[in-house]
Amino acid sequence: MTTPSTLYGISGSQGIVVARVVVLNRQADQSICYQLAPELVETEVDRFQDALNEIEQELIELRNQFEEDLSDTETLTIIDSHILMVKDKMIRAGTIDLIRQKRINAEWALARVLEHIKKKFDHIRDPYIRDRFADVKYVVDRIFAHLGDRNRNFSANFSEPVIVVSDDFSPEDTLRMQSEKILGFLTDKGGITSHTAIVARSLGLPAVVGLKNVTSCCRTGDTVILDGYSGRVYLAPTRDQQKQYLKYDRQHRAFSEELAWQIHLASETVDGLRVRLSANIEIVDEVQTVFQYGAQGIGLFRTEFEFLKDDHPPSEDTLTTVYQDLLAMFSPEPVTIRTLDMGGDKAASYINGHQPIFERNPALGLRSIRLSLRDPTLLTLQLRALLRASLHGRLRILLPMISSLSELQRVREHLNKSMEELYRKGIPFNPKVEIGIMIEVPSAVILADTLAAEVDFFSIGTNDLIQYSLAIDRSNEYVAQMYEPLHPAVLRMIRQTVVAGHNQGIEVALCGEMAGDVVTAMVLLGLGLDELSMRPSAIPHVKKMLRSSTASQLSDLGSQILELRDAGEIRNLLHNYLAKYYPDEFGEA
Amino acid sequence: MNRKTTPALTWESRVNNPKGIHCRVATRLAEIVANHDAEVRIINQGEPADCSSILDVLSLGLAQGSLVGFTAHGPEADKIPVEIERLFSGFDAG
Repeated sequence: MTTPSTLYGISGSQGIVVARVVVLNRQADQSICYQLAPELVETEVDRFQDALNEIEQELIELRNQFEEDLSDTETLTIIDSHILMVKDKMIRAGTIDLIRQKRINAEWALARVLEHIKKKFDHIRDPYIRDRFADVKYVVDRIFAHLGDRNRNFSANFSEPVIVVSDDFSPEDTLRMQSEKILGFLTDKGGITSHTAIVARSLGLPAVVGLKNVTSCCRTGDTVILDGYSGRVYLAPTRDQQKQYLKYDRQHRAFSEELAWQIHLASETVDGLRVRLSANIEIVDEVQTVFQYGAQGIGLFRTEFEFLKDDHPPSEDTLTTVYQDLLAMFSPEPVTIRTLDMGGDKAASYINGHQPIFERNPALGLRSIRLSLRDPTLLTLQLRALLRASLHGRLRILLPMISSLSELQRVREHLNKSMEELYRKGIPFNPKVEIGIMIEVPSAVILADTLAAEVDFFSIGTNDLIQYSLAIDRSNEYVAQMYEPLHPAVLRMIRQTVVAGHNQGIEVALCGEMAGDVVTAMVLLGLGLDELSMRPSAIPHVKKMLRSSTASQLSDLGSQILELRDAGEIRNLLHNYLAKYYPDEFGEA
Repeated sequence: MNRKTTPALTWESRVNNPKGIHCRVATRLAEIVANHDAEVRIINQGEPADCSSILDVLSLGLAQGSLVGFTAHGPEADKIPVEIERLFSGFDAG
């Protein structure tokens, strides 16, 4: 089979990079596998030997302790045998040989060596000796753990900035990879709203996702062109192609610079209708870009990172500091902080007493507010921290995935308890802190009038709302193309939520991917949303569109669209609308 | 002098240790070799293992009563058989 020269995927994040790739493969046993650049082979060997030496030192110290404490020679010989295994040539030389021969990382080589030893032990007839494999496994697991510690920031091992390639990146992978050594992402799996795409956009790094077989089509060290605008990847590009692409990228950047002067202007229509354009962020370090792109506050702060970065929950004091700093930085603009939205693909390992649960259908399972309410320890920890921070700015607490009134009431009970507790202790907080809910489940849309009477604001989460109402798994490449933000059912649900909110006099925001795409953002403006929250870098462009519209023009667009019967008709109407009002950008060439 | 060119010492020995050559015995065996300037191989039914590698020796899976061959090279090779004989008697360890 010949390798194609171009791969077609889904644009995860815009931009162009021409660079070498590093391919990361995840094996069934979870040991990551990647090819090393030739000049990094010896560094990898050193990393492995350092891990072995550390373990040997640890074991020798352990042995010395035991020698003083007791005359238990049995334990001592076990430790001795483990020390010998760490030094054993089968493990040491065997792994190092594999690293050098195959130019492969230490974890993968070690996993192969362990397989080899296992095979030999499996042939042993004597059951007592065969069971000694447990000792080998123990020692090797220890080596894996040490390598893991040294792997935490594996991107530091790259000698030059690279494009990283994998079947998919876990939320933890992508958060760990925030390094100047990374220029872009390519994945086999995923769609526009997969975690890789979301993180890449917030970092401003180009990404193409859903490429199906990019991990098998390119090898570490290959140069590729990553075109995050069209979702294409060119393997083995010629010099001319590379030059042409870099020029194309410069043109796109020039357009971004043209948008830069929008940053300090008000986000309002020509006739003064104001719409708040705020930012979605995941980590506090992103605030720099939030200011840079002129966001009016934070429309969505995802709080999972503070809970995922260690193997234990953060302390209440740490969280309070994070939240109050954020509030103070943006005061008087609002900062919307969403309570823990874990489960499915991003649960912290210490939740559920370290017991991973198996769910046939995690999207419909124990996630988000359901997980928080099942064991409210983390939720109450977070609520107390939020309350303690609440006097430092304008805090809006956002509860994810609410699907019934009783769920909301249960959270309120926890909130009231936390308030009483703080009150008793004499710790000050804002008792009128704004509480809002995410509207991201169809049942919440239908109940929007009921729910609106109980909260201070709504925030529509379109990523999940689309997934749940159209029954489309957004990361399933087989149906990803049916994920349609402009589906009339979706747009009518958004409008229904806006109307329900406004009838109760509360603001309705929207924080899905739809807000950051200029075309869909126009529709949202037409549907009457009060706030659009998006990745910071999308704000100037949306603001430019808003500033050249009038309020009546937008509401006309909204009502016309709500009359239409399917996404195709809506796209046609939008096409004509954009060509008419924004001929420079959307007119026929 | 290259060890490979020195004449090899070879002998046979029976494993008398009640549980065969398990971790502790293999550890002792490796220690004996480490304490002498010699290279020692243990051979079970034609399959050789390096006595300095505990994993190599363990993976032969030698039960009590196995009859194994040895070859030893090196300046101190002649000191090895006595020590291994003592280890394999089953009274020294396990």
